[in-house]
Amino acid sequence: MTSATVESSTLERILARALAAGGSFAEVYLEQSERASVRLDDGKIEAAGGGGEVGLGLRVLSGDVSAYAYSTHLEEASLLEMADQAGRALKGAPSGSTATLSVLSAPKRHSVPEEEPAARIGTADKVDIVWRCDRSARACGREVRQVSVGYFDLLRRISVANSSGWRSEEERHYIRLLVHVVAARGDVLQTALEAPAGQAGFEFFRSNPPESVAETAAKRALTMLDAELAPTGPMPVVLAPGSGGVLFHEACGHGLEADIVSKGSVYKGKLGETVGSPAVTLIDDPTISGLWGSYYWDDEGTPARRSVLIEDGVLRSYLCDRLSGEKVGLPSTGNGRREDYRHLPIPRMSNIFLAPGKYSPEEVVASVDSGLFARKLGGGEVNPETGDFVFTVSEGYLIRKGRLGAPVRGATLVGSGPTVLRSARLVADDLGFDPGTCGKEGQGVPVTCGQPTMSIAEMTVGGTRVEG
Amino acid sequence: MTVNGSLTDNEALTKALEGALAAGADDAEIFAVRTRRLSIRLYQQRVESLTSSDSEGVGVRVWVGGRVGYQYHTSLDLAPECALAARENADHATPDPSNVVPESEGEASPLDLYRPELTSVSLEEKIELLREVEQGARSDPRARPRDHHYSEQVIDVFMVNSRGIRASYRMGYATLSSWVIAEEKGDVQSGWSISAARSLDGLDRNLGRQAADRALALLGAEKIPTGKASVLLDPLVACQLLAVVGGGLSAEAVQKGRSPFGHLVGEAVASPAVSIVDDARLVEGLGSSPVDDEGIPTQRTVLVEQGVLKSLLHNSQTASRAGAVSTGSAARPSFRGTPGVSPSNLLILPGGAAQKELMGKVDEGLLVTDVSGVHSGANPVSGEISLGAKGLWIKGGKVVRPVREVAIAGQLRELLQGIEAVGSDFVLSPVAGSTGSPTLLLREMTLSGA
Repeated sequence: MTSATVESSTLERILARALAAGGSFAEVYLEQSERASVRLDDGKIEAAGGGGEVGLGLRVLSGDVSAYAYSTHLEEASLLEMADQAGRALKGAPSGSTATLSVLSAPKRHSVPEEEPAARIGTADKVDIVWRCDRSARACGREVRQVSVGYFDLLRRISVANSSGWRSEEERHYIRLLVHVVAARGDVLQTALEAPAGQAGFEFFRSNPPESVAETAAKRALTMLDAELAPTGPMPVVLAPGSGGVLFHEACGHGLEADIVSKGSVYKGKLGETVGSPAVTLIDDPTISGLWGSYYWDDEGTPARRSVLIEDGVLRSYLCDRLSGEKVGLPSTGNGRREDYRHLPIPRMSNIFLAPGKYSPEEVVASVDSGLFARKLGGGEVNPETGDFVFTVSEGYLIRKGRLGAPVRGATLVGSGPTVLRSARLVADDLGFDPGTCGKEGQGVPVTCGQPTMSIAEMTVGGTRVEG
Repeated sequence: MTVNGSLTDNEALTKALEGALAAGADDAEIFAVRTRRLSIRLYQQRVESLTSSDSEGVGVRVWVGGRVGYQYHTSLDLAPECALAARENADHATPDPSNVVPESEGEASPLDLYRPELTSVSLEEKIELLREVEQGARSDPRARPRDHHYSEQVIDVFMVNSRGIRASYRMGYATLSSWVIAEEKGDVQSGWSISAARSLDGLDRNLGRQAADRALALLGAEKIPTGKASVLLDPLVACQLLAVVGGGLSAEAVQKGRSPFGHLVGEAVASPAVSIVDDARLVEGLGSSPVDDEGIPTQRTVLVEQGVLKSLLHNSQTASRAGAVSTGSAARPSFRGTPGVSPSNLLILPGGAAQKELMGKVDEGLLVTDVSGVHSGANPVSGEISLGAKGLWIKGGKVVRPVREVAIAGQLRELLQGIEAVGSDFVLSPVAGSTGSPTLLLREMTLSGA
């Protein structure tokens, strides 16, 4: 497909036009993406396909008011019209001093080389990957009723140019395999999803063999057929590595995003205070190579960096982009992200994880007399103002006398962020990451949640089995 | 209202159709969309952000020997290249006799889904509306507005295929949402409300007040003991669960073994108090359209009648597999994908009793006013539900205190069969697609608390 670019001189004209209406800062975000996907369902390749997108977003700030306009049309005339519109929209906003445009430098470029670029892999090889998943999943048992597999690879070229003279171009290569299995016994259906993802080429499948991914999903769905009803009420919870990180993502991740902090979060005004048990050290790090949530510059062109958010229970930092950072009196931490050209950047997590501790996973489980072991979490949700959050356990086991017992059906756990942070007890040394999509204000960004095996003193489990 | 000529007269789109056939496709289909949006976020009576956009895209679907290939792009000029790529992609798909090509059934009767006054009203008037709504949220000194959002969309859709289907329409609507925080003695509670209409005068200006009242009602909320109890679902909560049910009423889900309703057409799946319809012809419904995303005319479909499952939702593929007729339910999330099956406006028909009357029937139970974690805690395949919830505890038919940090759990089919009564307070909402429901009284759910 064609390569989309906007000339430097055009960029300068658009930015200058946007500032002329009284803006204090202007930014052009240009994105081009190409996607290839294969979908298998019900034993058939339903569609092999793909597509491309080219879009541009123009942002103009006047003080703390943002005007944003985006389009899929890149002709200079229509972009200048967009700049005028953005300026008109700001009319009446308190203006900072009228800024002048710094000369745009040549763009800084960054791309992580793939060993086996997905764009050069033929469709037939991608189709083969999904067939391998289908066969392996079905081979796990008669009760595997249905298998659907999705493969996609996505190349994104992101260019940022702003009125301070910054110019960067970053290329990111995403790849993902999704295997969804339905197991059935009579009327009862259980499901499982395994969806490893990363930023890499086809070499991704060396560390994520399709057969293993499919077997993990199939075995989980089959195990859930034998599962008892989940218990109900408050109890200690042990979370397995990787997806357990969803707990922290919901319990405090969003509450530490600076736009939420400035409007009202349970963590507002608490920098330097103890917000969790000493076992809690929470880090956000977009610089970890190859992870689904990583990047080199954020989507405003700020260099990515590792942020220690909570250290031994003490709150150290928020997650900031330019605008929200200003509101809380801090510089951007390089967490300004957007789903694509159709959205304004807002503070987002990248790869957020609980730092490993010194215990072994077995010791952590043994420390709980009676409770729930969450091997795999689904998603969750939080109200950052109240701190109330939920997350769903998609594979769980009872803990009885410090040992893993029977599998139990999925249940949602309910808690309050600040309470749960204080109730974190033992943290093991086996850090793992799990990829997902985080949704906020109608836009989704790729993230990972990470943690080692760890225990929480008490959370409310929403099962259907009521004791006594 | 005819669609702007940028889609219907676009030469590249016509060339794409011809090009696909010239490249050896048996059939082809072009689906193009142009979307114009405006979004305003207000905070403390000041505009925080203003976003406007004009974007488009095209998807080309190609059939070759019973195989389907697909390719899309945001640039309509690249439609002919997409057609060639789709033709090549088709070679990798599995041939399937139910990959039928939708055929023209004549002109669909038009639906008036666009009001010009939506876009002709000035930006200043829209900002004023948002300010008025936010001001309403300050009715009580304990309440503070948290987020107020106005958005409008005008969408032009055009599709044409090699079997005589050629359809275009325009639709537009505006949405208003209000999120309010109530705070007292260190207790923080949250309430929200949403309204949608085809033009500004249809929007509810009282939204801020409503959201504030919902938050205020929860102040002082405490946990409850774990156990089983009757549950009332507020309309917006019922709507969210209805959307999960809707997933199971898709013929695609049933045919692929991914529905808790299995092969139950003709059998009772809910209590006799429950009737569910999918109505794509409802002018005020945001899910309405004159044709579905394959060009088949839409309709009103009775899905559940007094508890009995009468029909599933079909597109032309699922209909072909089942020997049934399409219900005009082909839907694409965007031009970037091929059509699956989705409800349009999914509605539980109202009954006769007001919410207070239904409450009067509850000796001890919970009126759920908000749920969270629906996207992960409600499984549309297994039907297992486990969600975070907040609401008001009922004793002797009256509200006695607010409740928080509860988890509610149950099984979808059991819950549907346990619906004892359906209220008269029907609300149509853009929550979870486009859904509508009154208050529902459920015999029993498991509640987890302290």
